[in-house]
Amino acid sequence: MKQGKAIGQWLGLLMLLGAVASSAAWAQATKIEFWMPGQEPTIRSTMEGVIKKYEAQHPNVRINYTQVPWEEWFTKLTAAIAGNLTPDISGLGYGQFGMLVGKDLFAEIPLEAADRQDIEAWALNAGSYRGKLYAFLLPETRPFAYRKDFFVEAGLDPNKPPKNWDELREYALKLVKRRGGKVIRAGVDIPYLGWVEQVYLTFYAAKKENANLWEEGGKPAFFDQEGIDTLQYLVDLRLKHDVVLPSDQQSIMGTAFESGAAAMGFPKSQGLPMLLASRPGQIGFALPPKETYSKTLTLGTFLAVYKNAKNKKEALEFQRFINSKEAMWEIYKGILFLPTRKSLQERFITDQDYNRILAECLKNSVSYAVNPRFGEARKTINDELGEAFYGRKSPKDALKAAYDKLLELSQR
Amino acid sequence: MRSDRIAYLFILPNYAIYLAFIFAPALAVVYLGFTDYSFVAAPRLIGLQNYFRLAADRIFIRAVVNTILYWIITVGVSMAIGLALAVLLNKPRRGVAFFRGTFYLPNVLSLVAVALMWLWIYDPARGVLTTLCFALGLPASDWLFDPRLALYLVMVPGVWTMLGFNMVIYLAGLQTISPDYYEVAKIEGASAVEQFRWITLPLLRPITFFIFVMSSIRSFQVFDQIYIMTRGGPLNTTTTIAFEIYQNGFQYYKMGYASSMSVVLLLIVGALTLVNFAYGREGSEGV
Repeated sequence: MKQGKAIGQWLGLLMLLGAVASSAAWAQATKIEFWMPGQEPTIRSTMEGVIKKYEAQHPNVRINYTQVPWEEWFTKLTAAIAGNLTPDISGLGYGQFGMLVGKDLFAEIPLEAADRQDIEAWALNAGSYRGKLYAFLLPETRPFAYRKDFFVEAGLDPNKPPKNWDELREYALKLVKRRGGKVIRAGVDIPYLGWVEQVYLTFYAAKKENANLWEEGGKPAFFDQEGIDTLQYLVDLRLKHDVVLPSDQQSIMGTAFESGAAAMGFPKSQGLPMLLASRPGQIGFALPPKETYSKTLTLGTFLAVYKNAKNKKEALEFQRFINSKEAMWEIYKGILFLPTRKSLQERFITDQDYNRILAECLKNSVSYAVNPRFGEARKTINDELGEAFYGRKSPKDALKAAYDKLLELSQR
Repeated sequence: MRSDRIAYLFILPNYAIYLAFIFAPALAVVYLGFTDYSFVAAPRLIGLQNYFRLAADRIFIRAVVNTILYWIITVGVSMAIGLALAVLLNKPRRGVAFFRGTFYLPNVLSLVAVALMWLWIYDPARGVLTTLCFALGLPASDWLFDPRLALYLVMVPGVWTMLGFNMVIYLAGLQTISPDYYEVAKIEGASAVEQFRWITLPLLRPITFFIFVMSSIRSFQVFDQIYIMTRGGPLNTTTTIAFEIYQNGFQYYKMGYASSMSVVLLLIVGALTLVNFAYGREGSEGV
């Protein structure tokens, strides 16, 4: 009995010494604060795995990881910026990066020549501003997807998706389902609420070379004949041909295609495994239908180090590690952000059946140019696109109004 | 006096917290409303420019109109239904506890969960409402995607969550009314409706005042269901002041402008509360 008590006391003392030793080690280690937006548990588990590997290679560095749900992300990061309490490194939404990069918040990334050769140019351009690299992109893209079972039902060949805009419209007319005069299954998913500008940009870029909503800095760049024709085509799908369901890109319930209420659509690449698991063998993939070009919208999350980071050198080193081949592959497997290194392309393409399509989509992608007033600009253009989709303004008038407002905004 | 000092000592912590976390930030917001603060640089005074811009901001004006409409309808309807339910459930009968609990339940649910549930009900392709319309041979709408209907549909979950709380408070109020009043009224030949009009309503005045203020504050702060269900659309038909404050402050980084909106909201709610205080002070003189 006395012996047992003594053993217990020694064990307790050893545990206490261990805790003190590890906290002492922690106290001595260089600490990096790392925040990531998103609520999926896979983000946490993947990032913690990457962190563990980094810490094993750098025993004098400890990374404190915090994951913040998107609903809280904007308020939390904004409050941190206001209070000069930003983490050393954080993820950033696509538009968020554009709004903040011009405010001199981020550290320039010193990229080695080997990395510059290996990382796709479009990925480096996305994270650059005025010729300097400030963030690495963890991309997701939006391939064209369709329901093979609905194709068969409508008498269409499930292995022949539409190749151009005319075919897209014809297929949509055959695939749409109505009840009591109301569309209950859309022929094609064209979300006309929420972030409408995303689908508009995808189609606009298919019509015009190097199309974008705005130039770097925010000056609008969409008011031309191609822009008007693009919007007319999309609006006709709703108002003239009635093949579209009310669909909100931002909806927490998912878009019409993701919820099975549309025969064709442009789902996010991150959601594809879940989509395929819920409808095995029923989803087909292709490059988006071509008008003049075939373009895919590619967005994602940026990773940037803050200029005022307490341990900037170590944070930049960690940022470089996240963008290494090893970590990039782990992030792709865990969170489905697509790899941007050329040296990983072969491995990526053979990893899943549809990855060949995704790789092509990434090569032919379009995304937003940096806009310091991204939030307001997006809202403005969406309001006007909405006016066109609801038939309150012609496409030309809607785009003209959006152009004038965005021009004024860019000059403020 | 010593006892007064001790009493003040006891309420000091609460007031200190109130000053530090509510009053001082509110003053800061008022100050920021006169600046162009955007988080990154220090705030710069710009006088009344934010307020002039607000006066010309069509979306903000729409938000004010929507918020006032939302307040009038949700508070009015939830108070009326709450009172009706309280009167019906005031008498001890079989199952009354079950119904009281059922009607109160929406009040304790998370607003996010409530919004999600109603989003599903309103799904234009396969939601409960659409399916019901098809089953009854009625035309189905786009519901939340219809600019003419969206605001009123967003009010429904607001009323649904508020009426249980109102019912419970009214119940408590009804049970404080002495039955002697009703006995005398019965003897005098007053009908049930007359008793309700001349006894119940006037004696419930302080309760009505309390519910009105609490419901009004809640309705003016409406944000969760807008954020989840419509994000202010379609075509800004469901945007509210609280939602515009969030968008301008945290999505556009225009905290100075958002602060001026907060001040406008404060003035509106403050004015309503003052008017209602005058009504509430009259108490039960009407009986």
